[in-house]
Amino acid sequence: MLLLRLLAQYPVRCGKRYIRRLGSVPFQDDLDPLEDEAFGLEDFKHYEPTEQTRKQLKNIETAVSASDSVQEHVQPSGHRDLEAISKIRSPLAVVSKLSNPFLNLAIEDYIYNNMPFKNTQDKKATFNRLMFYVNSPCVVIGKNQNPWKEVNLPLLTSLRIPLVRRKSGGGTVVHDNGNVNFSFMTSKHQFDRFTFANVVVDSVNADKDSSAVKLKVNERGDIVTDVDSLKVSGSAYKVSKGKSYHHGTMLLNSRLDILGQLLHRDEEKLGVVDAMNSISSVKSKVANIGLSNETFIEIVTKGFGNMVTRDEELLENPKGPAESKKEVSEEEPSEIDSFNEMFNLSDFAQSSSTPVSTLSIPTFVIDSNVTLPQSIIDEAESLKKWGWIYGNTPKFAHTLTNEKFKFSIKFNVDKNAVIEGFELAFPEDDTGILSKEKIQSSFEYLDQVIQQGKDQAVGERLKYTGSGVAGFIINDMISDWIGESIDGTS
Amino acid sequence: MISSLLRAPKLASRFSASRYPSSRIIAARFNSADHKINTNSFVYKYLEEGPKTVKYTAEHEWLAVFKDDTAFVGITKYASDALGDATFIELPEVGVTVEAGESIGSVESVKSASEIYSPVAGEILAINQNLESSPGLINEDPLGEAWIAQIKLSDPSVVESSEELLDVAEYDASLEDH
Repeated sequence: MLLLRLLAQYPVRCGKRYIRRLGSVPFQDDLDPLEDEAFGLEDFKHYEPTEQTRKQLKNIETAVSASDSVQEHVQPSGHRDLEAISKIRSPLAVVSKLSNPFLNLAIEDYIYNNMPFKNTQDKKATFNRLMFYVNSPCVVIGKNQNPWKEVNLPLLTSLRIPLVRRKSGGGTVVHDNGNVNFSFMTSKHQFDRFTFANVVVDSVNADKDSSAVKLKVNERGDIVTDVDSLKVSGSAYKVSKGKSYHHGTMLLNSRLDILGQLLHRDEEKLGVVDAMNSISSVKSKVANIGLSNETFIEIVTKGFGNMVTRDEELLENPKGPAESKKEVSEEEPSEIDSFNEMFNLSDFAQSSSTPVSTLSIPTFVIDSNVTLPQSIIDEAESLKKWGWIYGNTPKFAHTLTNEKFKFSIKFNVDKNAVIEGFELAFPEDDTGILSKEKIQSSFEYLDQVIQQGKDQAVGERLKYTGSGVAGFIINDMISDWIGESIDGTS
Repeated sequence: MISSLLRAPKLASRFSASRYPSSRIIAARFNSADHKINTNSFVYKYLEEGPKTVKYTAEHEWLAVFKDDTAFVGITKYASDALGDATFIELPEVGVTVEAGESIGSVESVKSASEIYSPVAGEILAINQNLESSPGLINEDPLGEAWIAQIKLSDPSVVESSEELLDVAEYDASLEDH
């Protein structure tokens, strides 16, 4: 029933897979004893959906039945057209209640692309946007990274945790229900790595009611704990025509033990990846700050409102904020109020006790009742494609060594993650359980397929997947080992 | 040095100067000499007499057009300074046809992933593969050895008629506004 109702909400392409992802936590059901043993992950089995997860699941259900307190923040009967909302000519906060990472990235992209300039001739300022979303567990790599190098792919495969490649630069992060993603969008002209990091830090530090850890911004622009300099947020940035965004993760109550394991690779088992020119992640010690997702979203939205107010005041009156306060408080809110009325937007900033001069930021909540434009669905689909997630990896080499069979194999992988060729190497004292000749002959067919592929279009060539490669290796033991080491498929 | 000064554009830094000490307000000075193609580079020497015309865009790309109606494209010194140390350059595919304003790649730096747009329509004839192994070239010689792509212009007349393409004086003046 729930499934049917949800499908009805998404008349456009919306497969079963999406529904499943919305409603399930990949950690909990997908383990078998073998995996526990192989990866020492007995703990995962006891993974319980957190309070947050339960809430989210409940939200999905209640959003469907439309009879829950969540609905207070959701537009009960008003305008639900994301297209119109995204073009609002005032600063805007957007909170996505969806948990599908591909969909959330696509929505973020859409809001970014539709963000209006204040002046269409002089594209130096935009009506800024702030978006929040919480993804179900997934691993997110930077635009120009190598997933074989950065991520424990066999572990992801066995836990059925999706791998996602975003369109901004930077390193690899792990998302789960205890991590809130924020995305601050502004003009290219106003791009600055520190501005919004400072807004986040100031908002969290100023929150008197909370027991959150005190934070600071380090010299790289990362948000870290004030005392121990532990990283609590990973940031990435994108600059395009006239616009820029700074998006980041915020570890509130994440499973840090799982986070660590997903990114840990044992090179003896999984091989050595020479990622060549790809961007490498900078490994940092991490910590949670301990706020609830809702509190974090509320206080940062408030901080965004304060920043917008300050900016407007300075635009109105460059000499200083004091004299212009009155003027702004009279003018701006009325403009915003009319938007609120028009679109039935809820208002986080206003509901909190804020100074009179603070602009109240209209907040649009995206839940399953909001019809998403087709272009968002299409973008989410293209973000899911193998050719983007894996295929966007720059040229690399992956060397696997097998102690039992006494040989190593180096795969040379070209652009688009197609196999260019491989080299076998045997130690001088050949004492493996198979003879050198036997091993070599088990790779003949694979070599043939790769050579034939060289005359073909990229799409026809052999992709660097575990199952793809393993399928052409004649010896089953070798085939299983290679498939398992590449990405856990065989 | 300039890159660190450019980190905060004027408007943003003015707002945040008192509150966010990490942003500084210092105006960067450029003059037209900064926008000249490096005469010792491959780009300049591509045909014997150097480029016929050099144009710039508001998105800080340069375009050096040659007699054979091909043009080299790159980013300006202003852009490369603003980006900071480049860590990865994404290049277009040879043989692909692009529209003016279409993305032909991106530069990832320690600060961001920034799109590069083609100033003109045409077919990508060649790409500068040196940038794949040495992204830092874009900081060292953005107007020469760090050219990004060579494009066969689909309409050579657009170089003179397009209002989007600025000459060196116009480009220089556009930077004054920053």
